[in-house]
Amino acid sequence: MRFNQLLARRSTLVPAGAVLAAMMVLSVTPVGAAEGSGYGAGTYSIDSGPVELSGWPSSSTPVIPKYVAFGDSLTTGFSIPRCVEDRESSPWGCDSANPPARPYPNRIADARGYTYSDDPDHYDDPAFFPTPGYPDVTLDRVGIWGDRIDEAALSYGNNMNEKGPWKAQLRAVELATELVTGALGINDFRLTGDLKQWAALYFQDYHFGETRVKERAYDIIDRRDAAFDQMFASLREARDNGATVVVTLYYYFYHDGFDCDVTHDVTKTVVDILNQELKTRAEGFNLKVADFRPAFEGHGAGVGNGEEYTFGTDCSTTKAVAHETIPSWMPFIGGAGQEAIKRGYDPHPNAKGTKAMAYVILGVLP
Amino acid sequence: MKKLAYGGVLVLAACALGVGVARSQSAVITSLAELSSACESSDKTAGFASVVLDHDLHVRDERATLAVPCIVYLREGASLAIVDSELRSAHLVVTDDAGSMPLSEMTLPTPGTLATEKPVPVVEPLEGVARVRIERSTLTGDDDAGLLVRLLHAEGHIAVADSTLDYPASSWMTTTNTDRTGRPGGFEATGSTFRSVGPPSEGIWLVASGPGRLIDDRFETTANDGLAMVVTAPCQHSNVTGITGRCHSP
Repeated sequence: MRFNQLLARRSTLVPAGAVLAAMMVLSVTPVGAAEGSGYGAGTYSIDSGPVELSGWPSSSTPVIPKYVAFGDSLTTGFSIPRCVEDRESSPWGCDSANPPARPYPNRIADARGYTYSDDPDHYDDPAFFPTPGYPDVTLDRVGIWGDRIDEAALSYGNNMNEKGPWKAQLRAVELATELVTGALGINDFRLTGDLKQWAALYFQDYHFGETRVKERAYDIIDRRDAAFDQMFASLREARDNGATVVVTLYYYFYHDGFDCDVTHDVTKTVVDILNQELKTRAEGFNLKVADFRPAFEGHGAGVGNGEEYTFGTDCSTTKAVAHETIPSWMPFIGGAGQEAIKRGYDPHPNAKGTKAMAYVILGVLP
Repeated sequence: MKKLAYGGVLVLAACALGVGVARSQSAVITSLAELSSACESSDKTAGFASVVLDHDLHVRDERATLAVPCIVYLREGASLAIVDSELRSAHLVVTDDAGSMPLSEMTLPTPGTLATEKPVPVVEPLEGVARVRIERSTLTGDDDAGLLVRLLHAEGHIAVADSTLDYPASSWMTTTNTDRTGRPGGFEATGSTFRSVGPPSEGIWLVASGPGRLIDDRFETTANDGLAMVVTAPCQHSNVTGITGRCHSP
C-alpha cells in the first residue's frame, strides 16, 4: 500500500488538518537535510529533522515512545510467503496485513502494559499519528524485514530510512524512555541467498582442515565495525535516557539432523560469531542481553513433529544446495521451486517462536 | 552409426522453466543432429532455445554441435543417453523440470552418514536406469559455455562413465527428489574427467539427495580453490582427485 493510500485509509480516524499537516511534512522536508531527532513540544519530524507543524489539535501532541523494538525480520511476525516485501509502503518492510505470528515486541508490550496499534495498516509509529479518539501507542516497533546493520547505520546518518518516509530505526531507539529490545546483523551474512557459497567454504574447511567459514564471518563483522559502533551508540543513548536496553542474541535456525550439516553448522558458526560480537559490545556498555539460543534448542527448522519454532520445516543441505545451484549464466529458472525452497527453509519465528522470544526477554527485565 | 532413439516430440517452449510450454507436434528427434536443429529452430527465451523430449533419446556414435544455448526438457519419464559420441555445445541445460511441485513436500533420503560420522557405509551401484547417462563420450562447451543437469524427480539418476565433460563456465549436475514417493536420485561416475577451468568458472558441483559413487575420476576446476563440490547422501569415492564435500574413501 502506498503512503498516500495509507493516509486515505486512515482518514476516517485522522482529522483532515492532521492529514494535511502530515502530508506537508513529507512534501516540504528535504531528504536528509536536517539533523537531530526533532521530537519536542510543538515540533516533530518523522524523518528529516524538526518541522513546525500547525493545525494539529492540542490533543494530538506527539507521544514519546516508551518502548522501542528495533531489528530485522524477526521483529515483524511475518513469514517468507506472507511478507510482500516493500519498504516504501510499509515501515516494517512487508506491505501485508495480519502477520501470521504475533510479533514478540507486541507480546512484551502486552505483558508490560505498553500499547500499540493493531490497525491492519499496522502503522504504529506514535509520533506520526497521534489521533484524537485513537489510542496513544507507547510501543514503537521499528524493525524492518531484511534490514542489514550497515543499512540501519546508513539510515541513521541520513536521518531517514533507505526507502520510504519512515524514520531511521536507530534514531527511534534513541527516543525510548523505558525499554529498547532488538539486534541487527544477521542479514549482512546473506545466509540464505548465498548458502551454496557458504557450503563451498564449509567443504573447503573440511578438505583443508581450515576455518574459512569463520574467517568470512569475522571479515563481514570487521567490515561493519562502524555500523556496530552506531548501533551501540544509539543503544547507549537510550540507556543514558533511562531506558532498559536488551540486546537480543540470534537463535540457531536449523535443526542439527541428518543431511543438515551445512545448513545447521554454517548458520550456527555465523550466529555464534555474530552473537559474541553483540554480547561483548552489550556488556561493555552495561546493557542487558537476551539469548534466544537455549529456548530454540531442539526447535529449529527440520526437527519435525511440529516442534519447530520457525515457519520452516526443512534443513536438508542437499535440497537447499541443489536448488540454489543455478549458474549465473542461466537467466531464469523454474519459479515455483525457488519459492518452495524459501518456504521450506524459512528461519523466521512462528507463533511458538515469538512467544519463546518474548519469554526470554521478559526473563531478563527487572 | 547406430541410433537408439525411440521417438520424441519436439515442442517449442514458449516460456521459461516452470512456465507454461506451448506444445506443437514436430519431427521425432532421434539424433544429436536433430536435437541441434530443433534447438536452433525453436523460439528463444532470454537467449535460450528449448526442446521437450517426451520419449527417450539414446544416441550412439554421433558427432554433433549445439550452436545455441539450449534447454532440453525430459518429460514423461524420458531419458537421455549419449554413448560413444562427441558433443560440442553452447550453454546446455538438461532437466526434468518439476514445474510447480512443492519442494516442501520432498521426501528425505534414507538416513545415511554425515560427513563427520563413521563408519562409512558401502554405496552400491545405482539400481534402475539412469535418467541421464553419458558413456564413453566427450561433451565440450564452447569458450564460455556451461553445463547444468538438473533433475527433480524420483529415480532421477545421473551416470557418467569413461567420459569427459569439459565446460569452461560450470559443470553442475544435481538430482533431488521432489516427488512424494520414490527413491531420491543418485550420482555415479566412473573413469571420467570433469573439467571447468573458465575463465571464469563457477566450478563443478555434483549434488544428489540419493547416493553418490565416484570411482577413478578426475576433477579439474579453477573455482573453489581447485575443488569440485560433491554433496550426496551418502557418498563414497575411490581413486578420485580434486573433490571435497560429503564423500569418503571406502
